[in-house]
Amino acid sequence: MNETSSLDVVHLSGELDIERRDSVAAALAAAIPPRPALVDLTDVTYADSTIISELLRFRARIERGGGRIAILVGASRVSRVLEYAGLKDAFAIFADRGSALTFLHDTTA
Amino acid sequence: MTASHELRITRTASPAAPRSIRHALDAFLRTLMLGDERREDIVLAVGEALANAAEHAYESSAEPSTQEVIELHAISTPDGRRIAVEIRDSGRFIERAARADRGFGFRIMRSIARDVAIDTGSGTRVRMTFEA
Repeated sequence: MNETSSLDVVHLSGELDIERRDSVAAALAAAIPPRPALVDLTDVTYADSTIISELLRFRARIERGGGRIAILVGASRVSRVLEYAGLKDAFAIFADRGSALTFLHDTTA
Repeated sequence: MTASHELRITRTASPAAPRSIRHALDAFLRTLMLGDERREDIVLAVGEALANAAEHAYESSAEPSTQEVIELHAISTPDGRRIAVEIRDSGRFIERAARADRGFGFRIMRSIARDVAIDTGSGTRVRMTFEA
């Protein structure tokens, strides 16, 4: 089994704001629980509360379906935005892909 | 205070307007003596107000009107230690009870700005001050 065979990966990049809301929602809609989902935000250069709201809706949908999600932030500013919004602990956030995959595979083992 | 430390932008309200205005603000802030993190934080706080303004334009008419605009006015001391930014939109204020997640945007603004003031009337005006 390769590292992505048992999970859905949603890779988002660039500036995630109100202009991108519909495309972000469409990308997230591709993930189907109970498969775990990795949301890769390492290439995001800007993200605001518009996208935080989409991530919260996404998390709720995946968890309702019995799945888990991990957010990969790398060196992006996303974790800082979540902290300002008071949502630092609302998501499982990882700086590196290996830790995110370990988390997702552990929860589905 | 000189004109070089002041920025005024008016854009037609559209989904692309916040990004365009953010980029102009970022360029303005780069002329000041700010660290990257502080500059990015200010752009984020203002970006939240711009996202609100763009939403007002959507919600106050069936189709986004070219009559509706978003305006930004930023003014800074020459050293960038004190920056005031005002964001205005001409959209009708909409009760936001149904949009609970909008509260995150205001929380972000208040985490970064020293002061946040919001006035609503014929449009919505958000004023923020930032200090180094």
